[in-house]
Amino acid sequence: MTRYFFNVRSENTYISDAEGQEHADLGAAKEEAKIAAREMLAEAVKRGHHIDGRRFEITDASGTVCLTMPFRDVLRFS
Amino acid sequence: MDGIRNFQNHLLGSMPEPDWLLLEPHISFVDLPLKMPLESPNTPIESCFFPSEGIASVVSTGRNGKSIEVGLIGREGVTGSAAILGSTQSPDAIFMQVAGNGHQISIRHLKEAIRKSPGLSETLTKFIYSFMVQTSQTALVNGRATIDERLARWLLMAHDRVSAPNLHITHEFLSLMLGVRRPSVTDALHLLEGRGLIRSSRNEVVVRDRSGLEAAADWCYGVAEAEYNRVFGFYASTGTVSALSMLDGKLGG
Repeated sequence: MTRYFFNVRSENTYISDAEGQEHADLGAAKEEAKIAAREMLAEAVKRGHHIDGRRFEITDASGTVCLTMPFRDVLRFS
Repeated sequence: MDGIRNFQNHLLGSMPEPDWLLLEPHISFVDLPLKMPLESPNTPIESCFFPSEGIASVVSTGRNGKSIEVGLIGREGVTGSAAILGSTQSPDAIFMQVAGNGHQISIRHLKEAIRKSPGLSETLTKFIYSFMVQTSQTALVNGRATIDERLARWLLMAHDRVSAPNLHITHEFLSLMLGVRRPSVTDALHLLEGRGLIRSSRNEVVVRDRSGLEAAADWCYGVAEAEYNRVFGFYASTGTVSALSMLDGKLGG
């Protein structure tokens, strides 16, 4: 298990994840990122907020960026 | 509020002496470490716990293994309501979410004491009623509130049950309790921190602005607290001050 940190970057801000969470591998972390992005987008949509521009920047314990995933990637239009 | 005896648990501290003497030979003071299970799903309940410090989480579990927190019990109350009400077990789990300590008594001895004292019986059932109101409010906010509002509510309820503004809690635990993904918790905590209401670090959330947090929780906090006040006879001078906060002289704001 590896600890990954689910930081969120948008145009103006960077929210760093101080705690992180453990996953078997980067693939599993990416799956979690998708589920979390769906939930966070849903909250934003319900409140009528701007939904574009945010993305997960997932780092490992050394601070290296392992994966970047824009939230809008989880939206399905067909 | 002055208790009759110097216990942090409100029920034990304020009960009449004859009721306490029914419990005293059979009750012991124990540590309640983090994650200690107090009750397991569908397992006979052996003991009731009156927390002094720390917070027990009541978690409803489904057949598919999914779960969500439905209530918190700390120094204002007692665990074991299923057994007190006449069942031997419950599908719910109860475990320590914030470590602490408190008094433990076997169900058998508690029920013996209840049989001997109608007053003790009434005190316990009044608490169980007030806990039902808390879980009703949890159902309401889970269905109607945003994650931010629900998180602010949770932080207030936890803050009511601890003596210091620091809550030793992880984002992971909060995500399990609220039934949301952990990154959603991180996001919502960041929002509250940006407004100066809390300070959030790896294993800790510190409440900085109590009344601001109450404003953030808005309609989601206060009904269960007011009902607890009402059944136990506390009358707060303002609508938003919780009897739970009054337990150690800490008022809102």
